[in-house]
Amino acid sequence: MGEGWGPLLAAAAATLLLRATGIALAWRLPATHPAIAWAAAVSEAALSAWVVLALISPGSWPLSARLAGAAVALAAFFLAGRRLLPGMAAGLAAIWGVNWLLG
Amino acid sequence: MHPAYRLGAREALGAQAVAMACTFIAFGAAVHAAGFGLGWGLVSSAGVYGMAGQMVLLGAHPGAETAAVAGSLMANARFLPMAASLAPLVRGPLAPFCVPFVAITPWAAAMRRLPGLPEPDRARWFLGFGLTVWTVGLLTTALGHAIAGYLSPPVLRLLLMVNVLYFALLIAAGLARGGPWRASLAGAVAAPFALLLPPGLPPAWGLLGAALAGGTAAFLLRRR
Repeated sequence: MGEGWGPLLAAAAATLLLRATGIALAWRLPATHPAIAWAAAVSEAALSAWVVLALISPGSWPLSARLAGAAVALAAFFLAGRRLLPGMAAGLAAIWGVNWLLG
Repeated sequence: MHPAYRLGAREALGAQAVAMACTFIAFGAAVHAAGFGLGWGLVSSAGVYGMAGQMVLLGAHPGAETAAVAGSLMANARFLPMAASLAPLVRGPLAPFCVPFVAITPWAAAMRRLPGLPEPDRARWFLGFGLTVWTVGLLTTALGHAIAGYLSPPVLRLLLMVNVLYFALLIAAGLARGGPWRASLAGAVAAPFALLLPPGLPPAWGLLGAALAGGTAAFLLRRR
């Protein structure tokens, strides 16, 4: 087996176990159980935290370009009748444009 | 084929498929740049199927194997609460088949869509949706690996931003519809604190901490 296959297979098995554990833990709980509400809240918080960190962490695009991209994407999304693709396209164009302006 | 499978598959072929495709093309190119083969990249996309963890595994070179596995698992630790929150919606004989497809994109779509579907259709919708975006992930991993040499670094960096914008808009759309605004807001507020972690700690710890702190705060406020 070549380099990197051992860790990959171990990580794939562990991630599958993580998913299966989540399903199994909640298997007998009703949808209204507080534990389910907590898990959903943590998951929603993880999603928004991931987005915010991707926008503000030091990264491959300048902070101003990423923030402008997010703002333009949101504006285009709502102006286009809450359609995702125009919002995403406008946001990407803004990131590219602001980065170009910053030289 | 049951109509619910087809409905899920059809609804997967929108903005989410575009966001997935862009991210996995960039991943395929990164696999190539890291010196791994196409097979390795495909098994990563098929088996790990969580981009944060997949990116960490690109550092799985000799001497760093254990750290790469632990880092990957930590980066994808959010799959556990995601799976738990999804379980009541897909409960039944098809639920075990849903397990491999629990990832951010299918989960986020499912949490917004499944409550509005009849109970018997939910797991089928999730399987149709999940299998479609998973297949998109595999095909575009292969595409990214094949065209890695033709993609300039700025294009690759831009591809990685597509998913960020997609989820930002998905959250905004949810908030505008009166979705789980407390949890989304609390996660966003807690996130910057992750940047205050001491140097040397994996960034995944910060995300996990923000999710737990923000999500728990939102849950407690909801209970009042």
